[in-house]
Amino acid sequence: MNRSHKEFRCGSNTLNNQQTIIGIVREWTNYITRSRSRDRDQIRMKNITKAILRALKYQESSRGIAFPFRQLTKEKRRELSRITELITHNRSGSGSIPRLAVYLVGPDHLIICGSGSGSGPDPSFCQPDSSPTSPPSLKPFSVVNHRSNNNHNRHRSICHLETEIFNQGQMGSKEDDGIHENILPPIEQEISDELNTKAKKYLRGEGADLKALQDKKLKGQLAVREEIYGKSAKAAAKIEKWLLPSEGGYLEAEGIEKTWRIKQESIAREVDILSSRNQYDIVLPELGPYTLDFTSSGRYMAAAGRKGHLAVVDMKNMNLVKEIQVRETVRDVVFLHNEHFFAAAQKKYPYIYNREGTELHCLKEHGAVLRLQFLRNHFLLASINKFGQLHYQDVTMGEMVGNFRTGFGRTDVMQVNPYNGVVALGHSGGTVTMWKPTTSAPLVKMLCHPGPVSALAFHPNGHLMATSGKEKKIKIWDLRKFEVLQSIPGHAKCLDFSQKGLLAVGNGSFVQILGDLSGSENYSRYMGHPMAKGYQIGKVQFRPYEDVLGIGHSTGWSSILVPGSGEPNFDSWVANPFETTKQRREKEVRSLLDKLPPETIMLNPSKIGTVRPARKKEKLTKQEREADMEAAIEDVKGIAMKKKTKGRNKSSKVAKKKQERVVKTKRPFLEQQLKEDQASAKKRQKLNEQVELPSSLQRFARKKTTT
Amino acid sequence: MKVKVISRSADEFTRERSQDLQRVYHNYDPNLRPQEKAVEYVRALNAAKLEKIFARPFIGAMDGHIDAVSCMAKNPNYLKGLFSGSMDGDIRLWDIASRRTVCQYPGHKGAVRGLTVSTDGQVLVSCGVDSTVRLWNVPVATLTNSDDSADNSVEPLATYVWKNAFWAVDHQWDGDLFATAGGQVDIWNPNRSQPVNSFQWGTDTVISVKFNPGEPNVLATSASDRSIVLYDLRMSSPARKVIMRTRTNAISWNPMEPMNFTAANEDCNCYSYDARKLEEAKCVHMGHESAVMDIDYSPTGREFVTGSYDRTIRIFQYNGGRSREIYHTKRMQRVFCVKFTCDASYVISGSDDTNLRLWKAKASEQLGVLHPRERRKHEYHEAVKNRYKHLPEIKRIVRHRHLPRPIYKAAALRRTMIDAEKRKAERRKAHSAPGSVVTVPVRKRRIIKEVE
Repeated sequence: MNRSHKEFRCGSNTLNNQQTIIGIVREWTNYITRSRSRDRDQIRMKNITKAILRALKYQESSRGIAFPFRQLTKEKRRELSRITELITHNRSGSGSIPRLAVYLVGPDHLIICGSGSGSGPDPSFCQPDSSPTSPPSLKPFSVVNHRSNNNHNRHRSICHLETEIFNQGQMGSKEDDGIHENILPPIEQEISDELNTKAKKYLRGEGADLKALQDKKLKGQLAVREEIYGKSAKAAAKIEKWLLPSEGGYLEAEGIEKTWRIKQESIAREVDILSSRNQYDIVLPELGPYTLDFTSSGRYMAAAGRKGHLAVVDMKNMNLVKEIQVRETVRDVVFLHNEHFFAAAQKKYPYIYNREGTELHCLKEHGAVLRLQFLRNHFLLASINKFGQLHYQDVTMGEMVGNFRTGFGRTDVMQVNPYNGVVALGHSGGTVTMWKPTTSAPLVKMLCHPGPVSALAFHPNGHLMATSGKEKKIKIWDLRKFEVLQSIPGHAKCLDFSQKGLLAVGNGSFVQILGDLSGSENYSRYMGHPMAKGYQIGKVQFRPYEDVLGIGHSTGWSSILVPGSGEPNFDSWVANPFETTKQRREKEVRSLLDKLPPETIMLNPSKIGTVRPARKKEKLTKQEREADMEAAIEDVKGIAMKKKTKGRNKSSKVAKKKQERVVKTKRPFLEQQLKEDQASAKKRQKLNEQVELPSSLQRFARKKTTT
Repeated sequence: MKVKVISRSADEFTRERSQDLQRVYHNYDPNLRPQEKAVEYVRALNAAKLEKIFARPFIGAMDGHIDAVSCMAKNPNYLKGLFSGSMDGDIRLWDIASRRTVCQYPGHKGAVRGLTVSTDGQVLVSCGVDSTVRLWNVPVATLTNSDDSADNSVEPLATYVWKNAFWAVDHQWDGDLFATAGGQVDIWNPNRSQPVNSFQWGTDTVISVKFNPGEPNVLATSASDRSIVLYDLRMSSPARKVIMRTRTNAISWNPMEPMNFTAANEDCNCYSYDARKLEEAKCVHMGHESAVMDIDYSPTGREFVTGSYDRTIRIFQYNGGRSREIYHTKRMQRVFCVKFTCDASYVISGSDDTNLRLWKAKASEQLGVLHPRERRKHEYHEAVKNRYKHLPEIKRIVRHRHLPRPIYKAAALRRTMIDAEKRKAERRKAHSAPGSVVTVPVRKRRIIKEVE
């Protein structure tokens, strides 16, 4: 047993030492667990490392310290392991940083060791004195179950742990063997954990509750089905882990820099030429504010200038496919199911054009449309016109599916929820209404802001909505509960969510990108981009499957790079940026075959294909009824009494009133019970009397007994 | 600062040469496919409709007999060959693929009542109302292919004359004995001119006989005294007997679950029995509007085909109470015999109108060699249809079958009668003293008694 341990154990000086170690390690662990993002403060890290090593006197004899982190969640553990990997392997470049080796042992323990000031990674630190020949891996550490030592207090147990770890050959081996067997090697464990969390996404919700089923046959069938679902989800998770060709973009700050201070120029310097071509400004000042739309694959962009300029651009090679001048106000433009057709909301009516710029249709029924949206799965073109009328037109057959007067006045805030196809409108009264084409009343009417709603956006998973009001608030809503998750101060003229959930906020001549960096649906600033002074941003839209944000503003359109915004892996059957003509034609036919009827638009689209749940149990049991009564009485007792004047606030009167209240609440329960008791008694009596009668004659039986 | 953005060069994601296949990338993320359930439902609906559109089960008729087809036999060793016997004593061997007669076996004086082929596929056994059993040589498969002439007739190997007219014959699945049914059940060895054994239980005519596919020595017969009798050749006396209210016309054993057999009954229903438990049917298969004349199991044991006097053929699941499929044509008369082919993909019927008819076992199945993509598409359609089959819109389309007017009317009438009977029984029960009237389940209702 080495000297340092003895020191730790006895002298008062060493006791201090021990406390500092624990304190520091705790601090360190807290720090790395709290900072979930990858941008860690290098200096702070260095200081902490130094402090730990000082405390461990790593130069002389001490070997390391183990820290239990069983209380951490799986995600945190995974993050921790990633960080530790980084520390051990990456940060040894500069000589000034003392190296720290951190290991995860089993699911429970983190081990931190000083690794000396040598140049390469030197594993010798982890070799105990007693067994100098043990291999430089995790093996020399024994896994020590913290639970087995829980009769010690916390300090002592850590101390105990240390000794066991470093004298594994002598002391710890007895407990070890049993534990080693059922614990996977850390890397495999990590991978299986990761696959499990990934598979959850592909399971699409909870499985059926088989325990509640009575029918054995059905239960067996469902169990088989569930197993298949589980297997396929796991296969999909594995594919996601290993087979996807591209990785997502990211932006990490190092040192004291902040991601939101990073300029587009500096990003352009770092990325490849192909990507840096995606930063540009198109200045067309005479043709007025521009609005944009991308096809679902992100390959083509339609731009519309207020003064009648319509253009379709191939974003892959920056070709202008076609531009036309319609010599009329154009308020909005939207692509239909592919790049060959687009609709433009012009002065009096919306028009449908093909890629060659030929006018195909004039949709007179829509009137002077302010905003257009296209529902890709349903082939519906939705529009809101100057008079606040919402129109749905089927673009395949030309049938007008819905025509509703919203009754909330003029608005140009409209967005489709991609998750369920519900159209949301933001109104000047601060309400947001959601519509489907088969009912004339809104599905949802929610008051989001005290002032007018200025912009609206939906997260692609459909559970988040961002709204902005003129009262300088941007709100993030949870659409499952219709609750505000977050309220961010700031104006927004336009909002858009990216595929990966970044939120672009355009206001004046500044675009801000908010990101859910912590993973807890808490949006904070991620990037910012100031445009030239005087540009008024009218539209922001992320380009699908790319890390690009398109900005339409008063003097043309621009495009900036937003790392981490787009989905890196496209699916050729869903949206293919490299689509050939033949593929496009085939896809058109396929999507027309799969065209959804308008009835499938509903708030919860997963309801399709389900059967109505079994009716609730009608009769409550006696215990349930009593529990209900108790709860009601408790509720009543909880209500505070009003202050009354003129002698009515006497304590006796208050007590009496309280009593009355209790009796009043009890009453219906008791009456109900009495009724049921009487009924059951009657029934029993009846049964006893008429057991001899056939069932058809039983209804005459009472008369007989009375006469 | 560390930064990475998505950057796809067109070279990596598109094919190099025009001969290459297009590159396809998959990402199974549910977020990329909004409303996938709705899309699936629409696909299921389309699949159901397509199935209806492509449901063309009738392949063709095989004509040649000059009287009603009374019996058929399939060759266990040769997929394309099928034997049929008619009421005028004619026996023909058909090549199903070309739907032509390969050869004829003249000799029977009256109607041919039973046909069967030996286990090795070499010998055809026929019997008829002229009280003879005839053994025929089956031509070699290769020879039948090359020889196309229609009047290729053969002499019998042997002719055994016996005491009474025969009604049915069946060969052992594994062994060289065969059994005939007539006045009694006779067990024959093909080399002897007289039966080696005879069984009788009751005095009435035995009208059908079938050997068990698993146990070569067990056979089931039905007689015109409304009984189904099980025999074991190792015992001297019959084993079991169940008496039903109406006559059983034919019996077929389930080849995959050889303890189960299904009986085609005169009362329009088929009854599946477990041979070990005859007091109750396992399942009652309803649907026919007239007597069920013949029944044959698919080699998969999952479904069986029945032919009926109501001029229809139905296909049932082995455990389904209602038919999966109803086949009929304008010209098809009373169906006397049906057979599933040995590859389970076709059904052959022989009827009163002297024709044999060839049907697909799955009405909308695509014939011919399937491209793997086509096959996968069919499988996908089948899966989505199965997934949403409980939803009313799809259920309605999948269940609907067009019926000829007389059968439709007969079905309606029958339904009325059954409902009336049920109502009457309910009322009777309501007006009787509690416990005095017991409702008998349908599975037991038509059984009079079981005798051991």
